[in-house]
Amino acid sequence: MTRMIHQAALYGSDAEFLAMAVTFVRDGLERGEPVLVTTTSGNLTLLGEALGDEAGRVDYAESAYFGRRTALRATGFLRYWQRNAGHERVRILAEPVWAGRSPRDVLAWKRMESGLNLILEGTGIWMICPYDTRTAGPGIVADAMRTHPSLSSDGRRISASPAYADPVTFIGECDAAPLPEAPATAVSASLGDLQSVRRFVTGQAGRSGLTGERVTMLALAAHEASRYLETPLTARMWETFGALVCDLRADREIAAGPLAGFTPPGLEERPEDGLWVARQICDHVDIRTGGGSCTVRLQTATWRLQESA
Amino acid sequence: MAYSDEADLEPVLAPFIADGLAQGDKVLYLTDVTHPAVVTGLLRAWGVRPDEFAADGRLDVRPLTTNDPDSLIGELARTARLARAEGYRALRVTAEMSWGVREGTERLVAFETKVHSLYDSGMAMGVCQYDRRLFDPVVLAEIQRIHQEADTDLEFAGAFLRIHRTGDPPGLRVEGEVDANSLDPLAEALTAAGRRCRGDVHVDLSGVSFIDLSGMRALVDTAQSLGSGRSLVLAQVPKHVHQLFKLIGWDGAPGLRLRGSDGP
Repeated sequence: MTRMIHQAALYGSDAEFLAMAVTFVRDGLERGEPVLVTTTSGNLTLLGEALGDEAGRVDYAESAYFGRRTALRATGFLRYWQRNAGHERVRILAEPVWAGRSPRDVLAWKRMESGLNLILEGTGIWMICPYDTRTAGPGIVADAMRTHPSLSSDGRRISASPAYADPVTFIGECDAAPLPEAPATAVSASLGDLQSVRRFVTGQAGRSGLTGERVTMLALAAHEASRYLETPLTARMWETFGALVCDLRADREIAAGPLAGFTPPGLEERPEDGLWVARQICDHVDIRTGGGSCTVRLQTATWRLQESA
Repeated sequence: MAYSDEADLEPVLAPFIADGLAQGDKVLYLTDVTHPAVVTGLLRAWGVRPDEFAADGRLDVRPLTTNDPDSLIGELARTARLARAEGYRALRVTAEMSWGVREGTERLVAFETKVHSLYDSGMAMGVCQYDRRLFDPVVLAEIQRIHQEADTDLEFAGAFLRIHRTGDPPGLRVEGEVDANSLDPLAEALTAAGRRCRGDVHVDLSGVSFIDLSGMRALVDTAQSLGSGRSLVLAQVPKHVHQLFKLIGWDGAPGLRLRGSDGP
C-alpha cells in the first residue's frame, strides 16, 4: 500500500517556493495523480503562470476558503482523498495561513498540522506544507519541524525531520493549559436529559440575539456533545467579544482521544461521531478531562458577526 | 376511553400516568363527579405513589373549574406552556367527561375537536374518560369517530414525536423531534413501512424541528436495507437537515434520495 507522506517545506522567496512546488505538481501530473493546491492567492498565481497549460489539470483553492476552521480543513483533505478513490497516490500542496492569526488560532492550526499525521494515516496522500519564513514567525517554523515527520527542499526528496514529535505528545502540550474560567456572569443550569440541553442552549442563544438556523445548529452541536458526555451534566453559557461560549461538564472522566471528532462518521457508529458534527458547526471545540470531570467547550460567533453576501 | 366501572380505568390510566411521571411529564387529573381524594386513593391502589408526586408538583389532581370548552382549552394550553417552562417534557392530562352530559353534545364535540389541535402541537397528550353509564350511545359513537379520524394513521405518538402512516405517496410523515431517545419508535416505523410499501418508501420530514445524528443514521440504514432497487425518499427535508446530510456526506448514501422543501 502507498503510505501517507506529510512534509514541511520552508521557503524564503518566490523562486524557492516555485522550485519546490512546480516539481511536486509536475511529477504528480506526469504520473496521472490527482493534485490539489491550497495556498495564498499570491502563490496560486505564481504557480499557475509557471505551470502554463498544465495548470488546467490542477485542483485548487485559496487556503483561507478551504476549511475556515481546522476540523473543516481536515475533513476537506479526507474528502478529496475519498473522491479520488481510484488512485493509489493523491498529492496535496497545503499551505496554512499564519499571518494575522490570534495565539489561540495559531495553536489550533499547529495542533491540526500534528493531528494530520493520524487523521490521514491509512490514506495514500502525499502532502507538502509550504511555510513562508518571511511571514511565519520563528515559533511557527520551529513547530513545523515538530509536526511534520519529514522535510522537503525540492518537492521530490524526503529527509526525516530530526525534531519530529509524536502527535499525541505534541497535542498533549497544546492542550496542557487549562481552559479560561467561565465568568461569574455565566448562566448555569443542571440538565438531566438531552431535551433539556437543547431547550437551555436554544433559550440562551435566543436571549443573546442569535436567530434562525444558527440557533438550531448550536443546539445540535450541544446536543451531540452532550450525547458524548452523557447526561446529567452542568451547562454554562456566556458571551465574550466575538464568541458565544457553551461549557458542558459531566462529573466523570472520559478518555477522549486527542483527535476525537476529527474524522467524519462512517458506516460503523462511533461515540465521537457527534463531536465531529459539533466541530463542523462550531468555531472551537475544546475537550478537557481530569479531576473527576470532563468538559466540552463549544464556541460560536455571536449575532453581531457580519457576513458579506 | 369509554368505561363502565372504575375497574376499566386502571389498565389505561395507570400506565398513562406512571409512564408520564417516569419520563418527566407533568400529570394533571381533572375530576368532575369524583372527589379528588377518591382519585388519589385509586392511584394509590394502582401503585402510582400519588402522595410523593403531588408533593413536588409533578402530579396535580383537582376538580374542573369550568364547563366551557373554550375556557377549558385555554386553561389546558396555559398549564401545558407553564409545564414546559418549568422544565417538564410535556403535559399529560386525563379528565372525567361527565360534564358533557350537562353541557350537551355540541359543546362536547367542539371541545374534542379543539383539544386534538392542542395535542397535535406536541405540548400535551391526554385521555378523556367517558362513563358509558352516563352517555347516550349515539353521542359516544360520535366522540369515538372524532378520535378515530384523528388517529387512524397514527403509527406512534410520544410527547415530542409523532409518526403517521401515509398512503399517497406511501410511507410515513414524521413530526417533532427525533433524537437518541425516540430512535426505537422511528426505527420500528421505518421497518414496518419498508414491509408495507411495495416500491419506494416516502418519508415526509416537513414537520421535523430537530433530528440528530442517530436519527439521520436510522434513515440511512433503512435506505440501505430496502434493497432491490427501492429507495427511501425523504421529502420536504428542512434546509438545515439537508445541509447536515451533505456535510456528513450521507446525501449520496445507497438507496437514499433527498428532496428539499422547495420541490423535486
